[in-house]
Amino acid sequence: MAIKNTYPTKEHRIFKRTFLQHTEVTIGFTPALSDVDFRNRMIPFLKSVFNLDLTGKADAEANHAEIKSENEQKQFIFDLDQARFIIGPKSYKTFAETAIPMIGILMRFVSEVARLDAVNQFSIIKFNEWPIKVNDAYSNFTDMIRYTFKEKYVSDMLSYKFDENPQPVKLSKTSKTDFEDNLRLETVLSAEVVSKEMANMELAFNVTAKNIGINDMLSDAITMNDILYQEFIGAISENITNLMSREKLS
Amino acid sequence: MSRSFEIIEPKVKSVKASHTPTFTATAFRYFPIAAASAVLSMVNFDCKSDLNSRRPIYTICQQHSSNELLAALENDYEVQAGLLKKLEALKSTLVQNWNGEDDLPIEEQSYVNTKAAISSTPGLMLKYWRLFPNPNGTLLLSPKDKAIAGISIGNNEFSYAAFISDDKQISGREPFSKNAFMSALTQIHRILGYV
Repeated sequence: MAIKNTYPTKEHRIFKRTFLQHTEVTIGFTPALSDVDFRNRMIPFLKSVFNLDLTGKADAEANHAEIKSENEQKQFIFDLDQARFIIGPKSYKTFAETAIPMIGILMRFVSEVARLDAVNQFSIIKFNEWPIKVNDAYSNFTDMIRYTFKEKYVSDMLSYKFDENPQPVKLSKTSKTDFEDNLRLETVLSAEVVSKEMANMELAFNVTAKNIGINDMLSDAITMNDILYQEFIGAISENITNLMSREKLS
Repeated sequence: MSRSFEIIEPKVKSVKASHTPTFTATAFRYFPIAAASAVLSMVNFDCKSDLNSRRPIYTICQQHSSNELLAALENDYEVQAGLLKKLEALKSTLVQNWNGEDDLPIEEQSYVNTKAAISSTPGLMLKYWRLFPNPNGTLLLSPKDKAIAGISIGNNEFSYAAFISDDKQISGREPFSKNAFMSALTQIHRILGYV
């Protein structure tokens, strides 16, 4: 089922730097593969896609495969009823450039190993983090929140008061938005005092679609990422977009 | 207006390469990675659970790899796979009254939540934890060291606590979600000094 984007189409800005720490795309499917089918089909799949020949090297009872780059922060994990890849911050350029080719590999896994033409669940997870160095995190807590996020998103957090003996605290807000066609977006926005000198702001997204045909996966992934992008831009302040437009922070 | 704080570079964890990968590829046909290691294997475990003892239940679990590939990996997969394997074993073997005190078998939704929690948590974090069954059918993550902490995962909620001192402790109860679990675990790790 192709996903409809309820947001108006908007061109994505390409920033010079990102605070994106973790990008993950996961698929889940049924029926689960048997151990035997998994092993027998994974060996030609790994050879075909990654040029890795495991003939005679794989465990006879294999039911899990992991492909990890040695010089890039990219990793694939294949299991009996799910598959996913993870991209670290050093290897992420743009979704189209970095994630889409890897989604193509997940599609091949669904087709060639799971031998299905649809997945039950298709998720994109992105995690952004802004560590902040500060003289007194307690007295600057609300200023740091306001500096990072748009005020309308965090107005309730701004009323937080520390007592006379302030302690580290983490405030989190979670939202769930259901779109059409079994599409759900979960957002977690967090502001944390780690210590008197250190704070951390976080923004995590998980957009999940249900019952996606493999022929729709690429276009749906682009739509889902567009939703994430617009939610991200909607939540962060101009201070952050300005920082992202610079090569270096200081 | 001057600010008394500045955003700094996030700490980036580098991807660990295997020390002695059994096989590597220097050029992928379709996948633009210059070199990679891979494993296709299954972890074997030598777990001894003393399920007849009084609570708390102590489980001695010695994990060993089934072949040289796993030994070579030195990644976090073994830890995650180990906990998932333990979870499956608890789910499939614990029956009603398994500890002689009307103990419940593992609840289906607690199992699903725990599986989601383990699957979504990096092995680098999971390596500090062991998995135990609770008598009420929920599941408990308990530190491997002597730290005072625990995370109990139930059908709808999870609760957690960690204690170092009066001014260094945390506890809470929240609706279960992978994000909420990860957030709590991260805070517990900070309290316990695991990071």
